[in-house]
Amino acid sequence: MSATNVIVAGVGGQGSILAAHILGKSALRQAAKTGKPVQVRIGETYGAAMRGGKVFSHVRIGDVRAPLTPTDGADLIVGLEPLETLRVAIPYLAPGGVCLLNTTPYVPADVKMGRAKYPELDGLLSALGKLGRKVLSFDATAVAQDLGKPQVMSVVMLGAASAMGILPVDEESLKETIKEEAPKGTAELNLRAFDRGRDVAASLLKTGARL
Amino acid sequence: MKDDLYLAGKPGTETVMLGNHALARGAVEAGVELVSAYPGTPSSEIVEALNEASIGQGFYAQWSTNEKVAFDVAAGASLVGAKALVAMKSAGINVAMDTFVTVPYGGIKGSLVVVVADDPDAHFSSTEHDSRPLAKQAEILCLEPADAGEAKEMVRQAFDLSHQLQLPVMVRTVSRVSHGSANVTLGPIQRTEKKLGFNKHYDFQYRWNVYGPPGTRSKHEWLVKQFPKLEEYAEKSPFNQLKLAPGSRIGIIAGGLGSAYAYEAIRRLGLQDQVNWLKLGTAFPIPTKMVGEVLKNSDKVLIVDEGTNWIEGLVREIAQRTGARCEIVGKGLDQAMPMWGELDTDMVVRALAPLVGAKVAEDSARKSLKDDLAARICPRSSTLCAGCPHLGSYWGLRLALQRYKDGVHLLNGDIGCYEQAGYGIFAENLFSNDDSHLWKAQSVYEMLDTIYVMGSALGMAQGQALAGYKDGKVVAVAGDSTFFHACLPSVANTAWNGGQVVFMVLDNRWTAMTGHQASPTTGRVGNGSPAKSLDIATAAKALGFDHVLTADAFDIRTVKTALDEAFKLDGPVVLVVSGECRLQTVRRERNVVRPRTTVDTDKCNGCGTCLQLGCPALGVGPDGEKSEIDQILCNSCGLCAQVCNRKAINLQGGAH
Repeated sequence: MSATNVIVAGVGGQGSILAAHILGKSALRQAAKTGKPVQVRIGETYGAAMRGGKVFSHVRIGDVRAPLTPTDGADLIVGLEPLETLRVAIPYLAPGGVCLLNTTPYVPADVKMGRAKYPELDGLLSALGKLGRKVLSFDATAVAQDLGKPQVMSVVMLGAASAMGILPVDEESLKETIKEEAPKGTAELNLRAFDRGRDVAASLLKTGARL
Repeated sequence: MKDDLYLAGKPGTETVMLGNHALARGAVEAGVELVSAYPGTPSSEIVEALNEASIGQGFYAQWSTNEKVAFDVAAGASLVGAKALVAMKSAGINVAMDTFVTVPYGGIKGSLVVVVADDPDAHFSSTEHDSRPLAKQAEILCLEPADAGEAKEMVRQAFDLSHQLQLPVMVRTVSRVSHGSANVTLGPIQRTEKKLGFNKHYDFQYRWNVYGPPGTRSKHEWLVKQFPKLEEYAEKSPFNQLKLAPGSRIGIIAGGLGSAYAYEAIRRLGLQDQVNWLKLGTAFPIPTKMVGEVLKNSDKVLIVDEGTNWIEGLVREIAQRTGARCEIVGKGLDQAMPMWGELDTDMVVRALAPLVGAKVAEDSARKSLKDDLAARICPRSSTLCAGCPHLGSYWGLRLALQRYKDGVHLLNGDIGCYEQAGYGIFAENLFSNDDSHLWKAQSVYEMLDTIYVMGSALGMAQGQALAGYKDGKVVAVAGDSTFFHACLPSVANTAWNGGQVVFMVLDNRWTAMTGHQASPTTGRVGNGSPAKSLDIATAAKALGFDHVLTADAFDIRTVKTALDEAFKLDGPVVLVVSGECRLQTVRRERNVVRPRTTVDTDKCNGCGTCLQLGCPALGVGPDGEKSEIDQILCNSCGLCAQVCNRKAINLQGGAH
């Protein structure tokens, strides 16, 4: 069964749902261009919290019907937040899968109130490395802030993901979808964010840093 | 997310669409004329989309005060010939149940499509309630989509079916369909020329008066006699697909979303075209002949169903009727798959493998690696938002109750954002069956003792008070939307029958939890047009409450003072605590420069009092001791400044 399974993991408000929809719509856009039809399924999981709750979006492209990725079936996890990336990687990251991680944590209230401990980032990265094939990490929040808008972090991550050669979607289709889906007046900024993410990932891949 | 295809997309366009938007699009394609709902996750986006779309599209949409009202509004429209849709979540159908089971007795003139969104795994709900048996109880057709594409098509066709059958048609979705996205190909939009009319004697005498002649019994007889039409439809429905595999003695019958998991499980095990396959899109009735074909041609049949073992029960009934002798495996006695939670492909693979003699390998090294990792992750409890007015309401309640330290107070919660005060952060040290322990609330998240269904808090509190509970104060809370949804009869009941209860109505002006839909106190209707803003205090007075108090949620002192007074009064009290949902204020006043909230580290002694407020913007700074405020999250509400005993938290540049 030929399919690519991507999970975007993060915290409510980080833009994971938008990123997942951009991926899914880009896959259809490319299918329309190439004449090779695909099925797209996006399964969103989020809890009751309006802001700050965990959010996982399963994006499945290919010969798929179900909204959920099978156990050990994620080819790529786009992790917008470290803890949530680990949480979703444990059940879903494939032994040959790859994790792309934004290193800025979004500390849960449980930790802030002194009732729980946030996992150490280094230990978390090596753990993810054992669970899958490869981990690529960088501070995407800082890149987004550098662009003047922390909200474009998810698109920075999408850009980085597209440079990794795992997505069944080409750069052009992604950019066209971003142009269409970006909130009014932010298309240019989002495209810049996408390119910056691509550049960061490309140079990380070149140097082999943290792989 | 830009996704307005549910109203404007061109026919023929293929897109990836949210299930709820696809359901809405189906209604628009069918030429819907009236839409009503009360918001409830995971159903809310259906009517949210249609509310937005309604202006200029020639149909009417509304948020109703509750699901029964919404159902009545839609049913009424259908009686004059309109195409009406009503949507709700699983819990909502219970509220609408009275009309839901009665309307079929009188039949439908236009069309009435009832969309019910169930929530297996209880992502957003208090139960995993399976609504499909209710279609049988109402004796109407129930369709069940496997994905967004089918959801759109089913709703579109349900309007015609309802009209032909003269009965409501139910469409049951689940969270993974409603909140999942899939390929959807848009169809043409049908414009309905409004030709509404009423006929007292439509098809048979006194049709619309279920109690009038010819009597309820004969109307039930009429309803039951429609059943063959439903069965006939099930046999020819395009949503039911039968494919027998010559030579195979293994069958799979899969309903709704279960068919998606079954499809992938079959491929995982390499069984394409090697099993007898029946995909069901009708959840009630199911097609007897098609099911019979699978049973006849198989020795073992696996039933894959999302929710309870509903389909399995119906299949067993057919097996009994047809004398089929095959083994039926599902969620019933054999428990091949659990009846709780939701399905996934792995579960279906594990249930299917033994039937076909396949082995599913388990990697024990990988499992122990996963166990090790799982031990390192920490929870992310659900919280109220930064700047939420309920943080102030609950802090005021905590302060007021401190006066009665020895009391075992009963705080009855209800359904809405404010129910977070009963979740507990990282629940630990739980004591069971031990009345001697006084549970010490360490934050606002550990206050509420009971939470059941919408509107139940006040009635329960009244019961506790009238039964003679004297160990502490009896309090009930509810939100503005809940107040109008299900509290009004309870408010009247409490005014009438009495009881020493303090009922706090936490009015944040929006149905915020389901995504900020308008509520009766918002001052707008669903499509954004200005409307009356109903006043809760006036309503409580009009319904007979002698003691009605008010307070400002963002001014904790006023909440505490009002509660001090409320606890001293004789008889039931309503306290309306007002403060708009901060996210909405900030959204609306995007360009307003708000004061920055900062911590004076010279004054802060790290006592942690402000952290107990539970605001997500508050945390501990890099020194691991003194408080710090996340400037990205902070919405400058000023509540933390009020709770700090050392005046270490300040708003720079004025009050909130």
